[in-house]
Amino acid sequence: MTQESATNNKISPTDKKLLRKLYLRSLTIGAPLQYANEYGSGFEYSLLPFIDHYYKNGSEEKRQALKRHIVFYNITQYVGTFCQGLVASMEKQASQHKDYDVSSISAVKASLMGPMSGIGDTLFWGILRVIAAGVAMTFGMQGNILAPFVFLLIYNIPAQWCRWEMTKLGFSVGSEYITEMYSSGLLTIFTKAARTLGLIMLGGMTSSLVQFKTKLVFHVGGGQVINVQNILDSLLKGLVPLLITLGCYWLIAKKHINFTVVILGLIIFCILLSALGIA
Amino acid sequence: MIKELRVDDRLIHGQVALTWPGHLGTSHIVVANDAASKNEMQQSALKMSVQGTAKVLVRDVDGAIKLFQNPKAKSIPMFVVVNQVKDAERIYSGLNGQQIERINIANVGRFDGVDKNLKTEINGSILLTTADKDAANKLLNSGANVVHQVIPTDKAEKFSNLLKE
Amino acid sequence: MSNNIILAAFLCGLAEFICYGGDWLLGQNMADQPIVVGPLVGLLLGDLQTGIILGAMLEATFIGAVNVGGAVSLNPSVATVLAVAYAIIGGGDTKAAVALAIPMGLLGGLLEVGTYVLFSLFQDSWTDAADKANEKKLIWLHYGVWFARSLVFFVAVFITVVIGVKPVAAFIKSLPSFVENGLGLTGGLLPAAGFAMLLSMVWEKKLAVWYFLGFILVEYVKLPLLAVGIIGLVFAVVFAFYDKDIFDLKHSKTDTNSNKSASQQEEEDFLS
Repeated sequence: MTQESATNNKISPTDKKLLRKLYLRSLTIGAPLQYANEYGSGFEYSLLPFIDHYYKNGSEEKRQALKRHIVFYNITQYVGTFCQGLVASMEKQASQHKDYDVSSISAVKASLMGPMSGIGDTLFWGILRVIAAGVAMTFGMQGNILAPFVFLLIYNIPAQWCRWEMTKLGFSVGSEYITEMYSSGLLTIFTKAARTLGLIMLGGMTSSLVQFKTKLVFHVGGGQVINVQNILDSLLKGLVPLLITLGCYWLIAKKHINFTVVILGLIIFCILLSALGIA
Repeated sequence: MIKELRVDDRLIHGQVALTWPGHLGTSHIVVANDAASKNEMQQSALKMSVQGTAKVLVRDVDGAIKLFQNPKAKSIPMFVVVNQVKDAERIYSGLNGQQIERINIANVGRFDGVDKNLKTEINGSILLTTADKDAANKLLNSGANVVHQVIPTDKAEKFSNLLKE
Repeated sequence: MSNNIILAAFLCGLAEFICYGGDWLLGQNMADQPIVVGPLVGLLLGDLQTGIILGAMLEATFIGAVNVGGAVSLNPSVATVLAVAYAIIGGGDTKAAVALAIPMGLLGGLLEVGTYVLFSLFQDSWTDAADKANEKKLIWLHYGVWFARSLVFFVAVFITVVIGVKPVAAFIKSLPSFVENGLGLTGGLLPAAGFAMLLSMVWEKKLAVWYFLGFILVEYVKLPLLAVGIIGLVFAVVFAFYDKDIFDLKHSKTDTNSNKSASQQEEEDFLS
């Protein structure tokens, strides 16, 4: 089992101390973000404690290690520490075995970059942030000062905890772990569960935050008035907001219209509705 | 049938996994890469990245060519990803240019560790070594439809035009 | 009067620096989200309530502004600082402030891309420092670039507030009433685009029913979002256990009847 193999690989006190440094430094990984190396500078900076400890000062090996990591790197940072921990353990081995194939270090980095970001972005940006915002917005709309604190806590407790667990995991269990996670089906199941939760939250938020009421009324003979909004409500409450949201989804997901274009389109749509006296 | 043969130095990543299969209307992704076919961890990582929304098969380049020649494979629309132009050229000539609708050179050479000064920078996402350049020219000379389009909402540029500049 | 606007602009720039810079310096903690930026600007400009409420409204609008894979579209922190400043200093209506936030967010996004390009120029210094094993320089660059790019945002917000807020407020006041009313409507409809963006990340045909469940729970049952989240969590956990059982069952089966090589089996599965 994965859990057992994780605990079997005990981390020595020295390494634990170094990992704690790596963790704290990894918080700044995005600080100097730019297009040339993206998180590359942060990767290097986080790894410095390990490189300093395991490579001899002034040695050619150390110089090569430093050069190896000041290149393009980007993984969603709350899960990317897995890659950083893994690389730390590989660098440790490389410093101790002269015949270690150092090219495998860069290969592992490159191969983890895409897949881990795909999952990390969905889980943290697409789901956790939505849940945190959904709960906090309820406070915010009422003018309650708790809103920002609720938001930051719901988001950061799981996110920064995950960052630390991933740091340790990457270092201690290494590459087999990914294979295990995948073949035990845990990851697929976890992702599906997270998506379920995300979709329910998005449904709830569509109802509470997307709002539209038409002012349209028709005067039929004899002073009778038909109120269009009442008719819409009797079909399905919130029908128009739901259709507009799904329509935007269709534009973005199926027609690949840029998010910004959709936003601008909606603004024009609103002004038109107002000009025509519909809303 | 290969809807698209994509050259991407990161193979499958967020963009590729989440946007392209839907855009191309395929749920079958083949990663043709010699190193990845031998590295079990990398294979798992690649499979993970699609999060169950598509089927992924990782093969070495020769194995992939064999797969495409399988009669069953010819009727399935597939999305093929390689990480260097050379491999795309190998597949193209291995299939005699058949079955491939489009070759998309999206991202190349950003982290293969080769000195930047030895490469030709076509744009921010394409850095070609001499070997890559030869392979690209070979593809163009044999009449392949080669474009550059990073994400579906970008416009597809003719690769021959990019090379000229 | 002009001293006041300069002080206010300085405070706005400071809020931007703290939220945008702080987000990147401390583990992408989401301090640059409107729901955090709004209250801070409100507090600094002396109208906390407006800040909190506008922050929550803008959070709904900007929730879909995810920059996945380096593609920046809208910058939520710039948008929020300027929108709250417009509402508090310019005396603008909150609904118009929400609509105003969109073009501001676009400009912020452009600025962000600009800084990414600009600071890429340091790549040679980075490579050089690594090549000479100059760790001090590596660390200096790391924090230096952070400070510089956060400072760019400070300055941009400062200047925009000094020269922009009052003229923009006057301009919006001069708009015909149907435009003003239309801008007011955007507060209710813009979140639709954000949710659509997020849906495109998590949508899966077989899971789509959950979206409608969430919708009905709020629309008809009138549950608060917190309760909806807890119900969702219960469903997610229950189904995860089912899925795990099914997965184990399937795999114990395939293990027993495979006399082909794993690679052949894999290929057949793929082509089936």
